[in-house]
Amino acid sequence: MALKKFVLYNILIFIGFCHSSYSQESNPFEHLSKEERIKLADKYHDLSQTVYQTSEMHRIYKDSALLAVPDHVNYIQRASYSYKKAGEHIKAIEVLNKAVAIDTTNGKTTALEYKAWSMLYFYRDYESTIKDVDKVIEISKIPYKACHGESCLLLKAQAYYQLGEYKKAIETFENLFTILKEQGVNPKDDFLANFYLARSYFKLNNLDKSLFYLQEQLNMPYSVKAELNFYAAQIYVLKNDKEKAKQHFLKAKELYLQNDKMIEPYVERFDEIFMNDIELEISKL
Amino acid sequence: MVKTLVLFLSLFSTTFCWAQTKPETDLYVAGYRNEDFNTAYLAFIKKKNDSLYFFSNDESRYSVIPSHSFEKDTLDLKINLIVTNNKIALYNTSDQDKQDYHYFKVENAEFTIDQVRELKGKRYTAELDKAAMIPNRDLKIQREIYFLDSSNVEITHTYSLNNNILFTEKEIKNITVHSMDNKVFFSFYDGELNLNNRWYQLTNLQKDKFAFVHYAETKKIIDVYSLNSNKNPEINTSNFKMCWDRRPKEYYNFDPDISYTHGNNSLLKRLIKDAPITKGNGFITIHFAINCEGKVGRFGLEQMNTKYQSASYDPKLIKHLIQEISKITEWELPEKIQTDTHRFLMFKVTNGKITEVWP
Repeated sequence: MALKKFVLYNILIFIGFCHSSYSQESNPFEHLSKEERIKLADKYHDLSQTVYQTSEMHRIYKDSALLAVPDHVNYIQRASYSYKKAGEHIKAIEVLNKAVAIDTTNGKTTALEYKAWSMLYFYRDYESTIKDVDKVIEISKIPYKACHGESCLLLKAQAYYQLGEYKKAIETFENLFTILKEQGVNPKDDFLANFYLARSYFKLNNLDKSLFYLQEQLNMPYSVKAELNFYAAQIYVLKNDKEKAKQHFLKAKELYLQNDKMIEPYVERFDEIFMNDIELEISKL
Repeated sequence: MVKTLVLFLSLFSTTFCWAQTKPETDLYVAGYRNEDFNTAYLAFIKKKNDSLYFFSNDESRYSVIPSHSFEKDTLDLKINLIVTNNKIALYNTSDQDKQDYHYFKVENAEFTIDQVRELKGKRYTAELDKAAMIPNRDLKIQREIYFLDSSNVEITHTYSLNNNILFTEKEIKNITVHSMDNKVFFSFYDGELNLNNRWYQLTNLQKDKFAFVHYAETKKIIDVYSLNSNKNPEINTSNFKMCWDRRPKEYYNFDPDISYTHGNNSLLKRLIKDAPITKGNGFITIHFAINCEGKVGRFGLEQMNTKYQSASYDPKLIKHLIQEISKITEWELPEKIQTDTHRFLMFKVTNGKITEVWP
């Protein structure tokens, strides 16, 4: 009888061991309290910041943080950065969508704001940008929201611009300017919005209005001058004013060489100019 | 019956414990240093009588430390040694610098140098997930090693999609074969053999195949090479080699970013000239390395539909894009750049045509 019990005991221990091994494999932090798991997630997140962002080590630390707290929206969102920056987009979007789903279910929009920004600049998915910005405004009920450091409406207007829907782009810029005025902010201080507004008018062949906004920005202290001069010069070419066109192209070249041009890390801005573009236009005069 | 079962369980436990504790070997090979950059490193450690003996590639011993894990703080250097059965990691941290070294217990596979001579004059091919740590999801990548003589190999990388060869790259490298405790290690290098090279342990050697084990990005990598009776066909072969055996830096780690000198619009015009048409809508991402000389190679591919899920496009289009990208030399590179860089170009496919390129 004692022997039978011993055998049974051994078998139970063996089953228990297997079960515990399996559980530990599925989540080794299951036995910790909520507070302990949050601390651990923070620690792994901090460790991930000490290694190269697109490395396997960074991802291991990020995954470990998410094993500790699987629904940590900020850490899920930030886990997607490593894949996005490395151009591993299927995984990046899979991870980011998870963050967005959890965040929006909780009535929050931070992850969606980041997604809208990414959709425009990193994926050139203009339809998704517009959809995401509309959803951010709908959920937050705040018409003027920032999407990862830029106004969400600026992103939406640029998306319309890229889709060739210039009238909608202009409407969105006007909407943004109205809100800025209500907040006591001078709309002229928003260089990018004014620049793409000018470009939208140009595309609609409204050269005077386009030139007006370009000239206005040329007088602003913090605008980017090479692109403004270049596109102003193009308008003068169309107006058959070769002298002014040349002046602006040469100014664009001078400013370009001084680095007073659009420079954005990670991506190239829409309508950013390059020396070849300037040289080509000058040669055509 | 029950007695037999108890006896069996006891024997099983004893055998299990013995197998777990019996040391198979005391030799460790350097996998890499700087774990996140996976920098090649050429060294060994021997664990003997509670001491760790560090050896450089020429077997000269240069350091001995106790074989148990420890942390030590001196005035200007913090040393942390972590010793487990399978891995030894050494972290040296000072105010100015941080270095970590990772050694892995060698595989229990013994060969002689004479056996290795059989490889001479033969071609072997292995399939890789990716080359030079460049992300890849969809390309089939093969590396062929042709053992020219006792000191040189010709290495060819072949990139294929749906059984269509898209591109090949070729390079000649020096080779050294090193035997230690009856384990055989290979290293492939340019110029002089130095600490910034990597050991590949020979773990299998048969008439028609062999296997190498090395370590990368925390993982053990096993490459199985099969004998090629014929030379692989070559399509648009370029001569390309990486300057370093380590993770290339990302294009945005430079100021300004490493990008096409004339901008995306010019790049698009250049790349879509004579480009074949495909079907559908979505995205194509071509990954590649720009080496320290500004040359392009080591490709990877990810194809997506508009829902950001895996998709496939006409291999003729992918072949065109890879071949055209390989010809680009106009990169905005910093002066005196010494590193290799990982860059990718993402293409939007609209009704089968390439309509945009970025980032």
